[in-house]
Amino acid sequence: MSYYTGRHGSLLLDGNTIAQVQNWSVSSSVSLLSIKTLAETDDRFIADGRTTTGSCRVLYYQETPGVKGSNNASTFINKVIKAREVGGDFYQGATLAQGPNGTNRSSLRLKIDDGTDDGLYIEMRVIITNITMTMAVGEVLAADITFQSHGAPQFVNI
Amino acid sequence: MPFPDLVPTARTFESGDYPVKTFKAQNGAETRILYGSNRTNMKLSLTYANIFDADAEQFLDHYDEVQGTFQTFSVGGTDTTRGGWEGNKDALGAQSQGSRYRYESPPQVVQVRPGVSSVTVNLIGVL
Repeated sequence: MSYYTGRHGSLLLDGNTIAQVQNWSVSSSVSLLSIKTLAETDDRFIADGRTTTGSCRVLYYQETPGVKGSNNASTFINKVIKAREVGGDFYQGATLAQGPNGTNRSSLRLKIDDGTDDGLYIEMRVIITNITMTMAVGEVLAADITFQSHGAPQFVNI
Repeated sequence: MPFPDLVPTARTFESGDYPVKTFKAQNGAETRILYGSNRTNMKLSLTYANIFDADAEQFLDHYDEVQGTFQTFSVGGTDTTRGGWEGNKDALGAQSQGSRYRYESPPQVVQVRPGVSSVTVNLIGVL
């Protein structure tokens, strides 16, 4: 019998294993439609839709001072927090695309190492919906990230 | 094709009125003349929320069969259209007054999700 703890968990963003992940969670909820008629006393339902969301906390660090790296919190942050693009006096925006090569969504795999080659995992196309960075005395700088799956997960092996 | 045999999820009923004409004098006195012995103009609104499209289609087919708002018809029995009503079955009907229902307006179909729709039907009782 095997149990899994935090050390068995990892997270891959666009195929790259993200280092220094402190935690991740995933939640899937199903919304319901009532089909109870006037002649009935107890609720009956059919499933309406499903929403899969999740969150993770990634420590911010630099392997080499001055080099941001591509497998840490910086990767997440740069998908959402972007400098404005040069586009004339009246354009002050920046692209909302989060995926590689200008695509809209990123690929996120939440993984549990069970000793096999692929491990256990849920992989989905996601849009990062929130990033919160907190700098505080006595604490390591980290990014709290929430995301929502675009459609059903691509791969589920759990 | 009879009116679809489904129990609604919501129902409203207005009991209509007898054909009365009211005259009011300048001193405020009111005179009413009864022109008929049958109550008419009952309004029955039925909502069928979150039903399968195949069931929703029955209302569209029935509306077409009775030529829209033209023909009259009787609605289902106590177990279906009046399901959940524990009073006298005639109270919600039009037949006891010699009336029958017809569509007051076309059925409204709202798609809720793939394969599931909500239908609202407005009927009116006429002689």
